[in-house]
Amino acid sequence: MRKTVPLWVMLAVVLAAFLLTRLGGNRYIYFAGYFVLQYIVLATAWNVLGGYTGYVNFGTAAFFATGAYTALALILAFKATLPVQILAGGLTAGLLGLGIGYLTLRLRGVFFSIATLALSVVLQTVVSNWAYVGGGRGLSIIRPKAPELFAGHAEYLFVVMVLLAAGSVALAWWIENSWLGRGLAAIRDNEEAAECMGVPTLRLKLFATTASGFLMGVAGTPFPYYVTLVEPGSVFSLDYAVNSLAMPMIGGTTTWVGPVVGAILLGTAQQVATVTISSELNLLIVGIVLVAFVMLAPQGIVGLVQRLFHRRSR
Amino acid sequence: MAALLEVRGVTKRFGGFRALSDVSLEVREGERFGLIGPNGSGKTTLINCISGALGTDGGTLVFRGKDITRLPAHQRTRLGICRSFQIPRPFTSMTVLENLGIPLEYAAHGQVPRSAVASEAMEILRLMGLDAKAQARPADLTQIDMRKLELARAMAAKPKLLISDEAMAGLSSAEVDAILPILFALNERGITIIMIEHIMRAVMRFSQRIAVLDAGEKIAEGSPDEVVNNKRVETAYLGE
Amino acid sequence: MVSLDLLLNAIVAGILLGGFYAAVSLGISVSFGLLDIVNIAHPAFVILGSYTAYAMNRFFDFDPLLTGLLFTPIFYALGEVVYRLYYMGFERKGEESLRGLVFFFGMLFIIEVALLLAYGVDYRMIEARYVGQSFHIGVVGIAFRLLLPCLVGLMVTVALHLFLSKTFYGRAIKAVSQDSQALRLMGVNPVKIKRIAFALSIATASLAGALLILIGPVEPSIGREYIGRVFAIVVLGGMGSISGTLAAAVILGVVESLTSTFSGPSWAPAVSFGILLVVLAVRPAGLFGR
Repeated sequence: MRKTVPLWVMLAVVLAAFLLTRLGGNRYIYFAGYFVLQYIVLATAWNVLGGYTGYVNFGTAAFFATGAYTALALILAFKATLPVQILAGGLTAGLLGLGIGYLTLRLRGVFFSIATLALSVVLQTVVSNWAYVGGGRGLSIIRPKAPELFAGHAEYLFVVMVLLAAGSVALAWWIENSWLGRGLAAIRDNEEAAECMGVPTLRLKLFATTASGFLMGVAGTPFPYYVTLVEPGSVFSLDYAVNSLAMPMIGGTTTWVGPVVGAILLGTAQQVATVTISSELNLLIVGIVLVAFVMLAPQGIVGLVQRLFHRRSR
Repeated sequence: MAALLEVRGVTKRFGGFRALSDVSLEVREGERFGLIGPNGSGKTTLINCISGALGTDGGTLVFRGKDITRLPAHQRTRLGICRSFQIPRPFTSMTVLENLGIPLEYAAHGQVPRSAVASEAMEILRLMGLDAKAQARPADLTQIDMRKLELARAMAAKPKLLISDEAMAGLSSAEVDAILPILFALNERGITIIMIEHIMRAVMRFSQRIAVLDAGEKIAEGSPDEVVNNKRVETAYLGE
Repeated sequence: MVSLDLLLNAIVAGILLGGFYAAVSLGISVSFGLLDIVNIAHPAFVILGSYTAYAMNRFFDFDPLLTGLLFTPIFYALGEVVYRLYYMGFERKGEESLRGLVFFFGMLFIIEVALLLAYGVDYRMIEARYVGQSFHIGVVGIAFRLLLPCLVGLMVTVALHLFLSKTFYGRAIKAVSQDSQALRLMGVNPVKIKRIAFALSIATASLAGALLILIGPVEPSIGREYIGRVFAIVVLGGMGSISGTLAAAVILGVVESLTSTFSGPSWAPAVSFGILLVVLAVRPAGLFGR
């Protein structure tokens, strides 16, 4: 596929989404859509480090929250516009990823994973003690008016998220098919052999951690506008860690398609479930499905489909 | 022949255990060098130190006149030192061809243009007799094909020095006879080879010079005949 | 100028807490330190133990320590089941331990949410006669709710240490991490040994959980704070060293207590994270590591 095709696909998708919002329809679609799209970004981001490189990040919430709180701080200090927030949120989260990676990636993958889990807890403590952004009780913000092209905030944020989702998938697609992606795959398959084959493993791992963190931060930046009340409990929710991990593992970790499939399936299912059954029960089911997949179908849905076609073509 | 690799007084400790004590040797350019010794004598540790998988606790390593003692493994690979693994470590999610793509793209970076990677890889597979299996996954390969893949990958890194770490361990006599010519052919192409083996007839036939390690020390060095007749070597293998 | 009273009390409280932390960390010391199984769900099993103690206390007025002891065999059986699942899914196939990590993360999550469903987010505590009391040695106050878990924690640590060094199965467990081949030659099935060891690690969670709810109220998510603590302790102490675990637990307890007293209690989780990072950067083998 030529390198510019994804760009056109991206633009087409965003345009389609925008036109959809002009058609009107139930506001709820845009809220639900935002939820799923947000997870497309998070799942894709997780997969760059988890699926492509083989390093498991349990602290998605930390990076997501970094994006959200950077955006919040910028809103409070400079009344910054959304594009600025997104860039800043992404960069800050990316730097966090780089930092954590630098500290722990020279050791076994296990210690990186534990560090990410601990990071969430520590960051939550820091934020809860930071009065400027509302401390433990949180902060309410007033959204500035949505740009005139859009019917309302829900539609505006929906289209923004479509853009972010399309962008992150495009980035993942690019990484996967580039020399970078091949190097990451070598690290995932056998890190020691990769190092001996000339792959600069530490550098590539740091790239993956930074890119992954960046995307997670980006996913978090529209959050303050989306919820208007930003409090640590919800921003640091364990749901983010579990979902951003479960979606790629269930969808499939080796290509960009997996996280998208997983996010759409699981995200939609959860939206339905939260309305019909309790949200805790819904999470319980996610956990069980995750364990089942990791044990029985480690290649995810994409892997199962591939095996099905492989068998048919023989 | 100039010295390609100089190992000067290398020492390596694991906690209180001395795996290598002041080991010195020299491998000349274009040479076929054998490294032997009883189990646990430190051969693999020495190889790990040379390739960069392990750091040293003393001594220096000089490759083509450059001090590489502190260099990380992937940079040593780019300079031209490559090793194959005793237990094959293929990239399991990739095809055989793609497995070769990694060293060609990374270790041999700059030497092979991106568009030529696939054809270059096929060329190497042909040399190894693996070209029919180019699209296969490592999981589907036989033991001997996996060993060939290990060597093929090491070759794809365009090494100046290839360290073959027990590439023939556990193979039948016929299989050994299939691998040995490949190593000779590689040497004819100008690649210096260090061979670590327990299979004596392979080492004797292949090596121009041999070094013998025992309990972390070098106890002998010389031509195959000299080494075979060395009393200390005999004792090391057979006991007092 | 720092008040000496405050300082002494903080240190003593830290030491007592350390004894308790050792009890919680023993499980990880065995499963991660000796078996190389990254069971990050261990704190969740401890919380499960706490809720068990709570339920038994609420419905049958059982003393939590009693519950902790009684349920140890049940947790042992649970551990066996979990290990069989883990073994079937991962170790037998020789998969990288990172997928096993996801498996345990899933377990952690399932246990936490199940408890949430059953008991909600409110803190639960138990009323035991001795919990509220304390006595004084000079200026230092010693609360029973800290002293008791510390003492029990010490006893369990010593018991485990003796088990591992003096009994056949204990030594087999220590050996299986280093040379399972040799074990096989001796006629001992390494898989069985690992299963016993893992089950043992989960069994300790029963008592540890009972101790936890003695110290203070619990709610389903506090297990997460302990993940950082427990791994920091095991890494600091050195993998596979029980005495190292105890020493590290006390060190962590004291540092946490001092931080809590002088900087505020909400910074306590940051302490374990900080210690973990420093140890991994400076001396990954830990204090007594192999």
